[in-house]
Amino acid sequence: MKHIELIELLYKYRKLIDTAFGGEAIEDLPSELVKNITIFQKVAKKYELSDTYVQFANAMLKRVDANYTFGDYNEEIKLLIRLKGDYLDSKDLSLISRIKELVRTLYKKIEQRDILINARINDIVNNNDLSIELIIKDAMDVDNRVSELIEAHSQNLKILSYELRGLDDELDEVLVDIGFDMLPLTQNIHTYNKRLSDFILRTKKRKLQNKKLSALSQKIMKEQDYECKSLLLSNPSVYHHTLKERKSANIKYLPSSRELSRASFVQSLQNILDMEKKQRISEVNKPYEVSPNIELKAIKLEKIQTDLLKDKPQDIYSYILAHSEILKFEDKQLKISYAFKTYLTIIQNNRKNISLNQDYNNSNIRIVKWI
Amino acid sequence: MDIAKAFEILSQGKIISSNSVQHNELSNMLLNNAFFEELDELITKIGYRLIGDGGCFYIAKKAKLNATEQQTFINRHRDTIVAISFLRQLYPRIDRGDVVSFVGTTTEYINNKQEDSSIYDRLVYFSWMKNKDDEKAMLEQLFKHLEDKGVIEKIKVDDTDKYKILDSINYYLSIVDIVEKGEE
Repeated sequence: MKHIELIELLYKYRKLIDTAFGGEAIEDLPSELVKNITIFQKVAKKYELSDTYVQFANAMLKRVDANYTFGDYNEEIKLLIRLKGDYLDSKDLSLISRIKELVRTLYKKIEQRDILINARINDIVNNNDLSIELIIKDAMDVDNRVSELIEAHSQNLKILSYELRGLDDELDEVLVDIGFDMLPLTQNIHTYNKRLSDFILRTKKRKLQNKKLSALSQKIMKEQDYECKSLLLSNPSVYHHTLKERKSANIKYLPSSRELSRASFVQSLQNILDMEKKQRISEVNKPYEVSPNIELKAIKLEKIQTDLLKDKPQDIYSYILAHSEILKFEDKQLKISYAFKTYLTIIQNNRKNISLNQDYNNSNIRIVKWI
Repeated sequence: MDIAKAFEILSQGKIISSNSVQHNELSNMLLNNAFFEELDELITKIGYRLIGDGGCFYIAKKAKLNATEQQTFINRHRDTIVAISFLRQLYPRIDRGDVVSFVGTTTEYINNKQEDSSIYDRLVYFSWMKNKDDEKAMLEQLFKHLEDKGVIEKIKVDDTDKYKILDSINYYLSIVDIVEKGEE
């Protein structure tokens, strides 16, 4: 297989390899990945990424294996105890200088380890490139390792502070000095442990939060976010009142106490209050009056004439006065006036059809007879 | 900064975050109990409430919302939740105080889209632009929206690339936490 083919193969199965890199064992692999290359190895019927691949990937990602970085220095401690025993047996002073040398080296190593752990934790906490799952896994690995170190470290301290004391004055001095120098390092280990635990908790919480956030936004996009709507609407008084954002305020504000205390403000306020009251000139209000209904009445002359022709009365005036056209008028004077006007008109128009009588009727009007 | 100025800013419908540099003075004032209470008393008189929670401050309405207000209220919250979920899909660990770059987000978006096209749906949902192919313009809109809603702010006034995530992101995330509680 050529190198370029290897890269293509890795790209083809990138998701699968990435899942395995996260620590999952794979049950079934495509034959391409099993045959010619050793990216995976079979462990207890399941496939895991091979150590060579993991080392390569870690190196490329600048991701240091936790086990590789932090030593517990058990070997050095064992050696110190052995040297102590040898010294007690032989009282050989050269052994003391070897112990001194070894104690110094041990301290240097512990200090170096502290720097490395700190750097590693900073890497984990600040690394935004690795996936959240991988980060949690790394942090948990380091956290477990640091927890183990706490135990080992207290053992180391016990040896340095008690076990090696009293052998030699110079050695005691070195041990006391180193004991002081070790104090912050001891403190640090506990801080790392706490820092990582907090970080893991936070990151796990965030992972869950992301899952929820993704679920809810899917629902929103599908218009199925009933819970969200009802939550917001059930108690809007605790949620942000969404006004339309503007540069100018939506609600006019009250003057501040500083503005109120200004002399000029008080002055202008006073001016307003002292103003002369002006008489308001109001318009005279004329009440609206409803005009009375006027009934317009007229006489149908033709109707009277037709009736005259039909009835041929002996006294035309009396006949007209009693006619229904004249009776329309309620006022007595009006009746007489209209009856007389009608009487005159009819006599004028019908000279040939009437005969004048010498006598006067009750109304002192000449009796005229229709022929 | 006095009560009047504080009221003027809050009544513009803004959420003020305590880690905002732009509203640094106001948020510091609001952290003072006496000032907070005085402003709350004033706001209560006109039918609103001043709320300070999880590092952010905002005005809420006491009375029932009318239909238009309800619609705006719901939509604004939903849009911002989708916008935040877009950011978190690209940067799963991003949180308040972190810095997000517009150029970086564009690159990250393109990489992410190749693996998972659902990120494009989120961007499209968000955008009211007609041309759904202009993804850069839609991303710009998304950033503008987040900035308008007080979720992010420019680190420097003249720097259009780098934005700081403000505390108000927690306000929206807490709503998500309550709504999706049953699925833990």
